[in-house]
Amino acid sequence: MIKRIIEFYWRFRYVCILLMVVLVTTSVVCIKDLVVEGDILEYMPPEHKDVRLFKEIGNKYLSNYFIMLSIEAAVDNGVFEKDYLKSIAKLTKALRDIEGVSSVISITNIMDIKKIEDGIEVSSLIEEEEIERMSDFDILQLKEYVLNNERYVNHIVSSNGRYSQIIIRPSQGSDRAKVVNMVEEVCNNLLKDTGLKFYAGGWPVAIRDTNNATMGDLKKLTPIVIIISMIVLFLGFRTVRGVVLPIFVVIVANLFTFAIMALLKKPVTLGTSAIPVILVSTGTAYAIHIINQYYFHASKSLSKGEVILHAITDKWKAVFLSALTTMAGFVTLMTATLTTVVDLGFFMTLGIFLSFLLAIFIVPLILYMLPIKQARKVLSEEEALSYTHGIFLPIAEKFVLFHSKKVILGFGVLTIILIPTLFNLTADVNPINYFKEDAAIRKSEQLLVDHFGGAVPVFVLVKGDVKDPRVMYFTEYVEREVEAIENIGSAQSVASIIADLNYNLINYYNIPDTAGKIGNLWFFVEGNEYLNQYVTQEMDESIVLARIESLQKSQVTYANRAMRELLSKIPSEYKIVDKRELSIGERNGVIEYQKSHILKRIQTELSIARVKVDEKVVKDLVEKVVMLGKVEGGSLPYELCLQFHNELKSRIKKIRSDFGIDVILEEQDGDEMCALDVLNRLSLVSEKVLLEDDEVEEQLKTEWNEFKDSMKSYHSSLYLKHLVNSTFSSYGIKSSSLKHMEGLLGLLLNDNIIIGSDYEGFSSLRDESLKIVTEYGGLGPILAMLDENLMKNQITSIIIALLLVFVLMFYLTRSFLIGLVSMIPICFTLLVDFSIMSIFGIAIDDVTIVIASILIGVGIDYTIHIITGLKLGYEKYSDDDKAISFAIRVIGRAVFLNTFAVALGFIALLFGDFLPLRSMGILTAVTMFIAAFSAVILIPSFVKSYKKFNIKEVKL
Amino acid sequence: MRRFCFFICVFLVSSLTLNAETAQDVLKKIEARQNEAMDAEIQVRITTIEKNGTKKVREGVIYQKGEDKRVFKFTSPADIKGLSVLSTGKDTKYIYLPEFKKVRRIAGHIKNQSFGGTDFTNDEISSTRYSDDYEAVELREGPDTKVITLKKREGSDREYDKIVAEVTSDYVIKRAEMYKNNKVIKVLDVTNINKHGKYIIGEKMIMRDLTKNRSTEMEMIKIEFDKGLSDEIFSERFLKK
Repeated sequence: MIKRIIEFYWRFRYVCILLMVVLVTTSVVCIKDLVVEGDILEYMPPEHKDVRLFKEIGNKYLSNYFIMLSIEAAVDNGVFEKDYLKSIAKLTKALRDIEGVSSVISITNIMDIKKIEDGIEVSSLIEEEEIERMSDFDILQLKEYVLNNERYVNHIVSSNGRYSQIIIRPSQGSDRAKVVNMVEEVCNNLLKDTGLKFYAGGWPVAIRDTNNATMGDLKKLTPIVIIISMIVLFLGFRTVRGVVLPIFVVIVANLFTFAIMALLKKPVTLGTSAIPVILVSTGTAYAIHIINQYYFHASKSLSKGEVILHAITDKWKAVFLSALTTMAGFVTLMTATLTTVVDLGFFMTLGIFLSFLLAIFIVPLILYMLPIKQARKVLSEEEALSYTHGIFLPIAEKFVLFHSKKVILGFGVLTIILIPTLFNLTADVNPINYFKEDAAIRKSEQLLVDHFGGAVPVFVLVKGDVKDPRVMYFTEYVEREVEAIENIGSAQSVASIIADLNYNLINYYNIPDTAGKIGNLWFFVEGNEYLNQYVTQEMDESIVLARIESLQKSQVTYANRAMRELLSKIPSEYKIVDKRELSIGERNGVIEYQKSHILKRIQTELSIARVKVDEKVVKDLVEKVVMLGKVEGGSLPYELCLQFHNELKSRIKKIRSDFGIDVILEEQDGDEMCALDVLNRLSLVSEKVLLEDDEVEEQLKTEWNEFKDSMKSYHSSLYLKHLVNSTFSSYGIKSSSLKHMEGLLGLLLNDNIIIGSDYEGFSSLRDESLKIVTEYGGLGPILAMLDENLMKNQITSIIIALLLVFVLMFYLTRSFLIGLVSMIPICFTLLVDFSIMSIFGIAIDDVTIVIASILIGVGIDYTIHIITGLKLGYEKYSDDDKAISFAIRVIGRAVFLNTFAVALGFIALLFGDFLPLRSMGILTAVTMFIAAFSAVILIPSFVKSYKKFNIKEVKL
Repeated sequence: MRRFCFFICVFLVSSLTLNAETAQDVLKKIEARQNEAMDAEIQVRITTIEKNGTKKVREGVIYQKGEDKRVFKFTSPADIKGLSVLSTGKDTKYIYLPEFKKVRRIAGHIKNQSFGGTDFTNDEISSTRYSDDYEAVELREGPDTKVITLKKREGSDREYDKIVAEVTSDYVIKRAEMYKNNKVIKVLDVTNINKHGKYIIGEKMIMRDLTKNRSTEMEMIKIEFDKGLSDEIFSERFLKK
C-alpha cells in the first residue's frame, strides 16, 4: 500500500514542494503572533473551584496581582530619615500616576488611625507636606510609633526599620508586564543617588520574568540543540545531506508546530518552550533511518528512484512504529489538568507526527533532486561482533551469557532499594522556585519572606454582612487565629481596623457589639482605598489576608493544612445575646462559655507573642475581670490614676463650657483621687439655670448620666489595663499584644455576648443565629492544588502510556509475556528517573513531567530494537547465544549511538535560565542511557534465563 | 464719517474696559452666590454609584449659616442615623457618634479625604469658599456661560492643583473639572438649577471620580432659606439632639 501512496504522491511532487514552500512561508508569518504566558493560574481550567475563587477575589479586591516593592535604606536608622521619607513619598506619588496602576500603598500614605486630643484622626501615616517640617525628634517618634504598631511592622516596614514596602495594585485589565516595567523605570529614575535600593517582587513581576526567561530560553536553546545535533549527525554520516536533511525535518516540524500553536491561540509556556529541544533530539531519528537506508541501497547499482523507493518501503514501518511509540508517550500528557502539560503533550505529539511525515515524504523528494551519493564506510557487522571494538558491550554480552539470572537479580535488588525513595518525590509548580538562586526575583521574594511576613498570599473569604457584629467578630477571631499559625504571618482584615477605631474611641481593642456602633466607626474610614483590599463595596463579604512565610513547598503544604484545620475548628454559626435578658441559669452558662472562649483566645494571643504562661495565671485574670464587671472599680496605680483624673477634669470642663454651669469636683489625694466613688461625690451647682429651660435641663441630665457612665467605663478600661499589665509584666510582652488581650477581656464587661455554636446550649438560646460561610483560597492552596494535580497527572499519564505501549508490544509480538517483559526496562528506567529526582530534591513540575513520556516513548524503541535484533540473530545464526551476542553487540551499538545523539541534544537544556529546564536536560540525558542499558542487558538476560521467553516464536 | 467711526470705536473700547469682568470678579460672585442666604436647611439624598453599578443611598439634613458654619446630620440608613458632622471653621470639625453617644473632634487635615465614602471630600461638604486656596487666573466667556480657571495658591493643602469651572450667567457653577498633575481626576456636574425665592441653587450635583470610576449624586429634596437658624445648632450640644 505504501508503494501506491508513494507512487501517487510522486506524481504530484512539484505540487508538494510548492505546497511546502507556501506552508513554510505562512508558518513564519503565523509564528509572529505567538504570545508567552508565564502565569500558572492561566494553566488551570477556569472553572476549578480554587482557581475561580482566586480569580474572583483577585478581581474584587485586586489582591492577587500586586507588585511588592521592597525599599532598602543604606543607613542604620533605616527608612526613617527625612530624605528617605521624602523620596518614598515622591515615589508613591509617581507610581500612582503610572497608567494601569489602581492604587499604591506605602509608609507615607497608608491609612493611620490615632487618638488626638478630644478626638480621633484617620489620615495618611505621613503627610507629604509635613515631612519637610519634621524635626529629628519627630522622625524618631514616628519610627517608634510605626515599629510598635502591628499594622505596619512586617507589613509596610520591616521590624528593624531598614526595609519599607510599597504595594502597587495594577488595575483590572491592565498590561501587568508593562506596569512592572514602568514601575521599575520610575524607581530607577527616582531612587537614583538617594541611597535607597529597590527590589520588585510579587506575582506580576514573577510572571513578567517568567515570560522574558521563557522567550529567552526558546531563542537561546533552539540554535544550541540544532548545532549539537548537527555535530552528532556529522559524526554519524560525514555527509552534508546526512546533516542537513534530518535538521531540516525537525526545523520545519518545529515551525509548523509553533505556527499551529499560534493559529490555535495557544501561548508559549515554560513547558512548551522545551518543544524545540525535545523535537530536535527525538525527531531527527526518523529522517536518519530513511537516509541510512538510502545510503545502504545507494551502494548497490540501482537507479536513484529505486534507491529511494527501497529506502522508504524498507523503513517506513520501523519509522512509523518508532514515531507511534514516541507519540504514545506524549499523547498521554493530554490527560493532565494543567493546560501547559496538555499543550505540551498535544504539540509534542503533533511535532513527532510532522517529523515522521516530513521524513517519509519530503526527505525522499529532496534526495531525489540531488545526485545519488554513497556514504562513508560504516562499521560492518563482523567488525561490530569482533572483541576489538568497544569495551562496554563485550562485557555486557559476557554478563548476559554467563550470569543472566544474576543480572536480573541485580536489577531486582536495585529496584527494591530504589522504590522507597519514591515516597519523597514531590511536585512543585511555584514559578519563583524555577529561577536560579541569584535571580532578582528570588532575592525580592526572599526579602519578602525575611522582612514582610512572606511572599505567598493566602486569604479566608468571609461571607456575610460585614457590619453585623457576629460577622465582624468572626473575622477578627479568624484573623488572630491565622496569625497564630506557625508559618503564616501578616494576617490583616477589616476587623482589625474596626477594633483599632474602637480602641481609639473607647479604649477597647475589640469589635463593638452592635451593627450601629460598627456603622458609626465605619464612617471614619469609608471610601478609603486602603479598605478595598479587605472588603467589597457592597459590604457583603470581606477577606482576611495573610502570607505564608516561606517559599518552600513543604511549608506551603503545612500552612494550607493548618488553615483548613483552623476553619473546620472555628464555629461557623453565631448568636448575639443580651446577658440581662437571660434567665439566671442561661446567664451562668453563657458567662462560663464566654470565660472559656476568652481564655482560649488569650492563649492564642500569647502564642502569637511567643510567650508561655501558665493557664492558671490566665484563668485568674479572666476571673478578676469578670468580678470587675460585677463590683465596679478597683484601685488604679498612680500613672493610670492620674490619667483618669485628668480625663475627669477635662470632661467636667467641657460640661461647664457646653451648659454654662459648674460642677464641683472635690480635690482628693492619692487613691481617692481616682476611686470610682469620686463620681458619686461630684455635684452640679447653679441648678436654677437648668430650671429655666426644660429642654436644656433634659439635655443636661442625659449628658450628666452619659458622662458618669462613660467615666465608669473609662475607669474599668484603665483598671483592666492595670490587671493585664500586672499579670504579664514579667513576660516582656509587646504592648500591641497586651492591647489585644485587654480588648478580649473587655468583652467580658459587655452586656451583649457573641456566642458560637460550640456552646452546648447554643440551640436553646432564643436569639437569631447567623451562619457564616468561609472559603480558604489564595496562591498557597492554588500551588498545593497544582502540585497535587501535577502528581496525579504524572501517575495517570505514566499508567496510560505504559498500557498503550504494552498493547502495542502485545500487538507486535503477539505474546502477552514478551509484551509484559518488554515493559520492564522502561519501568526500571522510570524508577531510576524518579529516584534521582527524589534523592536530589528535583520536583515534578510542568517541565520535568515530560521526562517520563520521553523515556517511555523513546525508551521502548530500544526494547523493540533489541527484540528485533534477537529475532534477526536467531534467523541469522540459529543459535541462542549468537543471537544474544548479535543483539547486544550489533543492535546494542546502534541503540547506544542513538542514545548518545538524543542525550546530547537534551544537554542543550543546561544552557537554559530556568532550573526545571536544566533538570530536565540532565535527567533525560542520564536516564536515556539507563533506558538503553536496561533494554540491552535485561531483554537478552530474560531470553537467556527463561525458556518461556521465546523470541524465536515472535512474529514481528 | 471716518471721525464718527473713530468715536464709536473709542466708545466701545472704553465701555468694554470699564465693564470688563476679571476672573477674580467671577470667583467672588460665585462665592457670593453660594453664600448669599443668611442660612439654609436642606434635606439631601446622597447616592454613591460604584463602578460595578452598586448603589448606596444615604439621606440627611444640612444646616448652614454663613460661610463656615455647617452641620450635616444623617437620617438614614439605620447604622449612621443621627451621626452628625459639625464644621465651624476651616480646621474645626466634630463628629457625633450616636451609637457611642460621643462627640469627637476630627483632625483638620483630613479635609481632602472622602466624606463618608462619597466622592465629595470633607472639605467640599463643609466649605463653599475657594478664594482662600485658589486664585482665579483665567476667564473665558461663552454665549451663556463663563469658564473660569482656578489655580491652587502656593502653600495650600487642597487636593486639586487646578479647577476649571463653568458658571451660568447667574454665577452658579454648572460644571467643574478638578485637575491633579495636569490630569482631570474629578468632574462635578450641577443640574436642576432653579430659583428658590430670591436665591438660585443647583438642586442636583453629580461628582464623578475618574480615577476610581465611580460617582456620587447629591440631590436636594427640600430646600429652605433664611429660617433664622440659631447659633446653638452649630454647637456640639446640638449634635447630640
